[in-house]
Amino acid sequence: MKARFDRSVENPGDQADPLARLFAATRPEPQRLHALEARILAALPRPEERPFFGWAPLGLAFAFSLILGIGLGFLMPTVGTPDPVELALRGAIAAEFELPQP
Amino acid sequence: MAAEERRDASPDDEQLLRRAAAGEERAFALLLRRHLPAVLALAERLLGSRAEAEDVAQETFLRLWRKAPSWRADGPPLAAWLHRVALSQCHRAWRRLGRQTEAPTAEPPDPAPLPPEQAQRAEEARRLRAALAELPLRQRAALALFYDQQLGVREIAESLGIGVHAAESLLARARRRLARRLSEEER
Repeated sequence: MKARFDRSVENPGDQADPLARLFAATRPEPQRLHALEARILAALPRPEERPFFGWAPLGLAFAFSLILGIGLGFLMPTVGTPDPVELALRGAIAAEFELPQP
Repeated sequence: MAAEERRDASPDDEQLLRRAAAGEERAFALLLRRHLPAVLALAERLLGSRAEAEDVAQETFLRLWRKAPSWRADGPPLAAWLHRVALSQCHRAWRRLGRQTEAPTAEPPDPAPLPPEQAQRAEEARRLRAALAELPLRQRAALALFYDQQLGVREIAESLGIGVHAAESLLARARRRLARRLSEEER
């Protein structure tokens, strides 16, 4: 028995070895390898990708800033400009009480 | 396309690993095609379950993908490295499965009657699976590498990360023990 084992250590395919025959008869068959290959390739970690949400958010942001800019452009020149009615009132009050004219 | 196939048919593992390390998925796919059948067969023989073996094979190759950029050409050959990683994954799976005598997820027997040849083959596979399950995982690995993958003792030693004499002794012990288990079952 030992001699047979020793011989098949040199040759794993020795058909005189009952274990070699048994392993050969029950060898797992390579089925569905393509599916497994695809599964492994799909699971490979890839460099982190930044999501691109498209041009719509960029367009909206541009439009919003344009409207804001135009609105501020209209409003800003009036800030700090004295109201003519208020100015006339102040002038009248100053004349009445002999205060320096505004 | 045909020229590309021819160019891809020849590169050795080292070249393919370098290309894979640069992120070339096609090179990695060629490595998969070359080594997946052996890794899967080893894991299936060790665990007795196709589903568990597929998980082990997947984890083994994901590790290879991560390892590719730091691969050292002076280390063990790729096939041996893959066997070592697969074996360690099988150890983990085996612990997780609770070291059942018979692999728990082995395919259930088909209720339909099989033709005599297939029935005999299925019975032999069951006997072998049950007998292998009694052996320590390293002995099972030595037997699978020897009989299924037809590796020599030196290659088995590389795959298990042990010396040649240790591999010879491990293989001899495994064969004696398996032969004894099988003959006990026959009685």
